[in-house]
Amino acid sequence: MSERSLANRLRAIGFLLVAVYAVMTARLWYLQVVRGEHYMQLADVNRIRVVPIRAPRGAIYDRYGQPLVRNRFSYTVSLVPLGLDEESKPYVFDTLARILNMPQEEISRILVEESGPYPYEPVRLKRDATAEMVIAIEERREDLPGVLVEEEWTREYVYGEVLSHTLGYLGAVDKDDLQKGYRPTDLIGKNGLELAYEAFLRGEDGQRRVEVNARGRPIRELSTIDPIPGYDMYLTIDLSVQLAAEEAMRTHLAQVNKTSRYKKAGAGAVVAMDPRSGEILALVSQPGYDPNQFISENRSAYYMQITAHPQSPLLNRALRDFPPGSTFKPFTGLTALEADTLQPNEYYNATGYGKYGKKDWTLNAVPQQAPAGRVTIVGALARSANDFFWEIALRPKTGGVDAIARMARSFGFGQPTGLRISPAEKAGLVPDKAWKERIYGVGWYEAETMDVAIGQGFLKVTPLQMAVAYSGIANRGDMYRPILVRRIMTPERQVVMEAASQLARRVQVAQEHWEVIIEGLRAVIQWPNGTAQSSFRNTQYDAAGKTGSAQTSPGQPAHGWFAAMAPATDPEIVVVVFAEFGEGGASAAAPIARQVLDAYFAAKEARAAQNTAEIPIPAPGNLPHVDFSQALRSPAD
Amino acid sequence: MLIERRMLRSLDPLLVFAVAGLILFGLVAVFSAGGSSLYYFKRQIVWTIIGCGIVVACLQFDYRYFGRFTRLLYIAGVGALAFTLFAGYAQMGAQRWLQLGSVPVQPSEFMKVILVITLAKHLEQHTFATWRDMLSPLIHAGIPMLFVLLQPDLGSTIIFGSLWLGMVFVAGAPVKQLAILTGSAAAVGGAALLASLKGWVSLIKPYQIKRILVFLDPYAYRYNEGYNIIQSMYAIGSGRFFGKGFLAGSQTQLNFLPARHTDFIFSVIGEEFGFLGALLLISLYMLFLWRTIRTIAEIDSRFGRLLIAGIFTMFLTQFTINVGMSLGVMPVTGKPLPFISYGGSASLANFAALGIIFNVNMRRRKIHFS
Repeated sequence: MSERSLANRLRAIGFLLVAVYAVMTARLWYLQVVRGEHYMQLADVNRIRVVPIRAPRGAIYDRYGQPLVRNRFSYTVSLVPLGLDEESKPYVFDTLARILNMPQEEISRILVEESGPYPYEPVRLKRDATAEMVIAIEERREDLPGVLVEEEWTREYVYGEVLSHTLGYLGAVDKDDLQKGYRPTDLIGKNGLELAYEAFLRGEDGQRRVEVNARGRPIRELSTIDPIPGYDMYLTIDLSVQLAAEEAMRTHLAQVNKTSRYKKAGAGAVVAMDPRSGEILALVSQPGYDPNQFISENRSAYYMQITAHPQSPLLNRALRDFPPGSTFKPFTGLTALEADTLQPNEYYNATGYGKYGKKDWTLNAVPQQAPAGRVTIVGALARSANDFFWEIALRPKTGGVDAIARMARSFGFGQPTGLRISPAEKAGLVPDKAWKERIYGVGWYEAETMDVAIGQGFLKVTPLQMAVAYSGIANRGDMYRPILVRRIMTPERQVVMEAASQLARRVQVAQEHWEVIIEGLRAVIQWPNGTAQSSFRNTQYDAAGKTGSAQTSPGQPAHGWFAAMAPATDPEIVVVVFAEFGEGGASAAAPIARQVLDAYFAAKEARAAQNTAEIPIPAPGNLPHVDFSQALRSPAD
Repeated sequence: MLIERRMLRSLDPLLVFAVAGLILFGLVAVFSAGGSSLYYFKRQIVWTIIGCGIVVACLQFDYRYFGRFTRLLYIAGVGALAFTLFAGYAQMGAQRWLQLGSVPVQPSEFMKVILVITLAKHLEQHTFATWRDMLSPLIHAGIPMLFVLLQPDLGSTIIFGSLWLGMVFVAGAPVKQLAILTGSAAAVGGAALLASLKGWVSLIKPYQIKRILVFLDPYAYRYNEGYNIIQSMYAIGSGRFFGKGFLAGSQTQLNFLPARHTDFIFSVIGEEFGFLGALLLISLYMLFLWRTIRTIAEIDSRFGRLLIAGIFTMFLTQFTINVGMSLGVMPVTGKPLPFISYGGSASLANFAALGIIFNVNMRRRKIHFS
């Protein structure tokens, strides 16, 4: 081979060398300079594990700082899939099964079903492990690879069923929550205040950044971001009043269950409010449920039990609508008074019989009452004389159902009160001519006006609306939006949000009309033949109220209602009691209201005597009037 | 003194510089890769000293002296390969090792050097006129290649093959013939690969097929076979421009990078010394290779030229395979990086080859003014 040809070949080899050099360098450049950042991050992901530190959820207290919901510290035993290997698995399963008192199949099943795409994310085997279990596991730590014991916060609802609907409960996150940054193992508020105020209660998880080696074993802690605990909430609820209301309702319901023929009887609600501010002092719905069960181990069994219960304990009856019965009569009265078709001291002979249209109508009250006789509106209210109200409602100048509807709406009936709670309250129904035309396509009948006048027919209100409306009467016109949360504070007691009363509506009514209505309500209790007189003997306070027995369907017992306020001259509390299918308002509901009021005033006196109040009750009229909805805007909105 | 000072002075200083640089780099890298243990580092020093001894030994006589024993060497080498196949032991799924007393040895490594010598001698007198002239060199290299292939050691087979190609090229084989030959070899290889992939024939073992698949998409095999490549790229890439610093490479020090003192030693360098360090290493290698191939033009002996050609190709191929693997542009073959990786018998063979290079290089034409 010639020298020249060799030279050519060598040159070719030289080019090859240069080509290899270029390719290697280019690739190196690509990996290290172009994608260097990217690989840096990937390398970090490789060696840095982020261990979340769970933030404790905010606690919930009553207005005096009594804990209602808090966190309990507990241990959770988990398995880390990456740490398990085929060899040690049988021993680990066997040992865990014995220590945790769980069958091995259960452990296997959980591991298979609940491990996610990340082999180093722990799979929870047992929440709330006992100290003995934890000690037993830690003693054998070397022999149990892949087993992890973590400290966790468990939610505790101190009083179980008390205030359960209002407080709500926690549950596992769903797919949409994951989008918002929750982790698959998080618990999130599912109902009640836990849901409505989730953003405040939740806090922010911290994290520990730990450097690990290829076997996942932590070598050192790089940095820690402390968790930010959730905010604590102080409710407007007065626990002593709440407990009294719950007890009174429970006793009554037990009685009803014994005596009533009706299967669904034995449920009810109580709403106690401070009319001067809109603060809710007690909110009862029974039967209730125990939220602690929803985060315990047998939650599915409990849930099935609850949903199968004939009276649907999951419903918050304070927020559901029912026919109000005679408790609606004051509003009919006000309609006529304001329309000038009724004078405050005008007498009418309530004979119990009337001739309306072509038929003879008979008083249809349960239980049958003696006709009221010759009464003014005061007496009519005291005796709950249906025919009195039929009369005034049908007087042409009153304005018929439309006028009553207008009055009702001005008191907030027919629309939500705006209480921030979950699930949403019902709006109720205030019928009028246009409504009936729209829904039924037919005209309005006079007889239907009669129904509405006495709180029957299409009319539907919630116990909460009733409380707000009666607060309007109590305040002579001003109605404040109901509130449940007084104050939200950080655990270091820094105030994040302070409740402010918001004037929701003001009803313009002549002063003497207010007075005569209130006198009527007082008469209900204080007249010897007032419908609620028997329940209110010897009270320490001067109360006023109205009974109601709302007819339901034929064959079903009536609902019992009682709406009260005290002291009558300048009320500081309004109580509405609703006894579903409880028969008479006087018999079923009034006694409960009596007990609630007793408890309220007793507690008030006790506090004054001890001079204790961690969080003082605001003096009337001292609350700033701020737009509440703005103050409460949370990130979730 | 068999080595004349004149000849020592003829030794290409750049070549020596490049080799010394590589060896030092290798010691640094192995030190780091060893982590907190000095086990590998100490042994690497021992191997290096032995290797230098071998180089010195190789320099003692004229390389042309090797030519006398080619037949013996060939038979011994092929014999050892055959023996390994039947009586050796397997490690890493391949029948590659022989136990000589207490030392494990890979005969295929020595066969590389032996083949260079024997083939160089063969081609010294060989001319390429017709197609038939291809035959004898083919058979010459084919037999050891076959034995190696049967182990199976695809990586070494490729090294043998490219080594043959380089030598034959420099020997003057017609380019067209070589092109056709290489092309058809690639075609046959590709066909065998495809056939094995489809499962018709099992010419290629499953793990070798896996290697190709993993090479094509390492992230699909993230937690098992692809792990090595991915870790290597992470390590190199995260070194960025300046590197993380000596002994500060997290992927290395925290056991994320596997086989880091052998196969993936380049990744250690890439992670700890960054682009600058890795470029330096590659440049040293290129310098080494360049000065080696340059020697061909400066010597008259055809035998010497062919020796250089063979060893040059051998080193170039090993370098490309290893660094390419670390960078993710070549499939994993498990071949170490010469003079850098921690190595036993492989590194001895490399030092022997180095000795040959020096030997030839020392005796090139150089004008002295003495």
